[in-house]
Amino acid sequence: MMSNPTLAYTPFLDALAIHEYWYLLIIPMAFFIAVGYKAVRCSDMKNYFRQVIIFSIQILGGLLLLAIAFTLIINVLLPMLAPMPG
Amino acid sequence: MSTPQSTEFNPLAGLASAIFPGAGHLVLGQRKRALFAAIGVFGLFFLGLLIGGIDAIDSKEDRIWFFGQALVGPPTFVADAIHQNMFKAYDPVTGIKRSGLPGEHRVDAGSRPVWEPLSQEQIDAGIGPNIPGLGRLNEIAMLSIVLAGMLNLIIFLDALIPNPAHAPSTPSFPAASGGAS
Repeated sequence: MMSNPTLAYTPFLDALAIHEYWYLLIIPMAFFIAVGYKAVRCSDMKNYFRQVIIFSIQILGGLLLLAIAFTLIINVLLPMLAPMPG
Repeated sequence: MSTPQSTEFNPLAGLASAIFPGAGHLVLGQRKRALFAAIGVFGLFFLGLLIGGIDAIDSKEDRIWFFGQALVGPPTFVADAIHQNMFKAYDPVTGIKRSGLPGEHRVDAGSRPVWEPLSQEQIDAGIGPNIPGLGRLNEIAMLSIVLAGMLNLIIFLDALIPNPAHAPSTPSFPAASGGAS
């Protein structure tokens, strides 16, 4: 049996093997976008963390709505408009 | 020559922001904003590197993505230089510089590094090239660093042309404002 050379994982040099959970990576991305964006757009830094959380939820909510919309278009609307044989 | 106020067009803050994410706001005296701006940009930057490895930044093979990633500034160019010079080598057959494949290792052959096949002992020892990101994960990794670049562009513009409402509050003295009553 051949050994697997990919066992020697080095963070930041080798890619992560999380192909099944790729969609969860949207959460830290949305959070960091909110942290950076609100750092320059927040008028009062007293509300900063509250605004970061709200903006993160807005990004995730927007993406979720887009995912639902595209799922409905692909699985419901398109089969109605252009039914495929079989 | 007068020092620009924190609400005027400020090329020094813009330059600082272009060199290091968040440094522009530090020049403007907005330390909290500088810290959080840097956390946002570097969070996305290192998240991309964590997901896709060093292969997520590649000015030769992913040039279009690199244009967006370059907006982060020097960190992107440093990561790309490390990738090109320390993790890539020349194909001994085609002579093209490329990333390593599983079962190869990088060997310095005189003037330039080349890829050579690994022996079974070396494979057992865990030696091999860095593992590049593939498919969707590679795209997400590159996207994360591009988002860091685009975010840094917003931060750069905000440092260059600061929002007057964001200026740090300073105590006002009647004498400083002319002392008119």
